[in-house]
Amino acid sequence: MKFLTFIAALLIPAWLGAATVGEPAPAFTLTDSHGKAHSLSDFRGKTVVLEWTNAECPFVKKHYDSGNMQKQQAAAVADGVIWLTINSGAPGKQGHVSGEQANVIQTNWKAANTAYLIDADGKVGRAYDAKTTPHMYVIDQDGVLRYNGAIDSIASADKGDLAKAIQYVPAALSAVADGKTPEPALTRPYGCSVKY
Amino acid sequence: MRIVAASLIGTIITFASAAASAEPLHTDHLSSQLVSQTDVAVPGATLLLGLLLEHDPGWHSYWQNPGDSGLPTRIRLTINDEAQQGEILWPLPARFPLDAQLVNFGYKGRVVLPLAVRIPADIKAGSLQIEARASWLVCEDACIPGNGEYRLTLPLASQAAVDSRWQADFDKSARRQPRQLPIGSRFTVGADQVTLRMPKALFPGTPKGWVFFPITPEVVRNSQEPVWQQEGQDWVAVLDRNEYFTALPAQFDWLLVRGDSGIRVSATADTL
Repeated sequence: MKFLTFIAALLIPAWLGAATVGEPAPAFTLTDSHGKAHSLSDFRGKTVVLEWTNAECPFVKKHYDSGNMQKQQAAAVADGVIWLTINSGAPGKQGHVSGEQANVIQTNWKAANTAYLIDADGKVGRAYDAKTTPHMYVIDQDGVLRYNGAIDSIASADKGDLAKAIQYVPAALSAVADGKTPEPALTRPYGCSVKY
Repeated sequence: MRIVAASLIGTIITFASAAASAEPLHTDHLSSQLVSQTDVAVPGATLLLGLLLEHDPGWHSYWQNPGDSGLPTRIRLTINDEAQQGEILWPLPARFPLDAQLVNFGYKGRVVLPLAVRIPADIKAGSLQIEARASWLVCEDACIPGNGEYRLTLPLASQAAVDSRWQADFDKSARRQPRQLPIGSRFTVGADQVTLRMPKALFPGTPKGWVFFPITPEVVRNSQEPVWQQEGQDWVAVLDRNEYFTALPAQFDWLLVRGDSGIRVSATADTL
C-alpha cells in the first residue's frame, strides 16, 4: 500500500500546486483590452495584483458597485503596484467580453487598475487555479506568489458586509512592502465560478 | 370590467393567504416558503420548521459546504421576538460538476431544509409568532443572490397533527438525513495528499459506488472522488489536499451518499 501511495504521488495532476504561495508565480503573457500584450516578467521588480473578474457576477458587482475594488486598485497603483484584472470567461459563457466591451465596463466602473487582460482560452486561469470571481493573488517583486484567495473575510454578495470584513489584498500588499509574510497568505476564495 | 374582476380576485387571494399564513415567496428562479411539519406547536416538544425551496429547472442552491464556489443557504429564526438556534438539518446534497476541476454541492428541484426548535415546556404565550430571514445564492450558469423574510403563526396545543401539505417534503428530507458512522475512522494530512481510513467492520458493505462529499471544507480537493481500497482492517482512500488547506483540523467529516442513504463519517487526525 505504501507503493500505491507512491504511485499516486507521481500521478498528481499538473494543475495541483501550480500556483503555490511561497513559490514562483506561473509566467504568462496576455493581451489587454486595448490590444497590448503584457507578460508577468515585464513587471519584475514591482509587486503585482491579479484579480479575476466577470462583470455580470453579483460578487464582483458587490465590490465594484460599492467602490471597494476601485479604492483598493487606486491605493495600490499609487504605491507603484501593478494591478491586472483578468477575465477567463470562455466565448459564449456569461461574462466573456471583447476588448471593446471590457473598455466600456472599465469606464462604467471607473476602474483604477493597470490593465484589463483577456484570457478567453482560460489557460492563465487554469495555471493559477482561479476558481471564483473575484479571486485575488499578490505576487512580490521577485515574482513569488505571496497571497492566494478571497478578496475579504466575509463570503457574501451583500454590500452591507463590507464594513465588517477584513480586506485581504491591502493587508497582503502592506506585508509584502515590509518584507513580511502576509497573514493570512492563503484563504478559500468566494464568488461565482470562473466560466471556463 | 376585467380589471375590476382581477383586482377583486386579488383581494380574495390576499385574505385567504393571510388566514393560512403561508404563501410562497417568488424571487429570481426560486420559490421559498417557511413551513411547519405540524399544524400546532407542543410545549416541551421539538418543533420541526422548514424552508421549502422550489428551484426553476436547471437552477440550484447550496449545501453547508458549497464546494468550489457558491454560498450555503442561511436561515435565522426569531420566535416570539427571541432569536433561536435554528440549525439546518441538511438533507443529502447532490453534486454539480462545472467541469473536471470545479464542483458545487447543493439542491435542485423541490426540497425542504428542516430546522428543529425546542419549545420550552413552560412557555407562557398563547401562540408562536415565528419570523425567519433566509439568504441564498441560486445558480444555473449565472448566479443570483436572494433573500426573504417569512412569518408564520402557530397555535400552542398539547397534541399536534402532521400538516399534510408539507408531509411528503418533510418525509423526504427525513429519509435523506445521514446516519453517523460509529467512531474509529481516521485521516492523515501529508504535504500534497490526505489519506482517509474507515474500519471495514463499521462500514456496511463496500464504500465503492457511494458519492463522496467533504463536510469540513479546506481539507480535500472538492472535485476529486475517492478510490477506496482495502488495507488490513480498513477501507483506505488517498485524495489530493485542498488548495486552501492551512491548518490540521482535529476532526474531518465527510459524507457518503448512495440513493437516499447517507453516512456521515467523523474522522480524527492521525499525525504522520
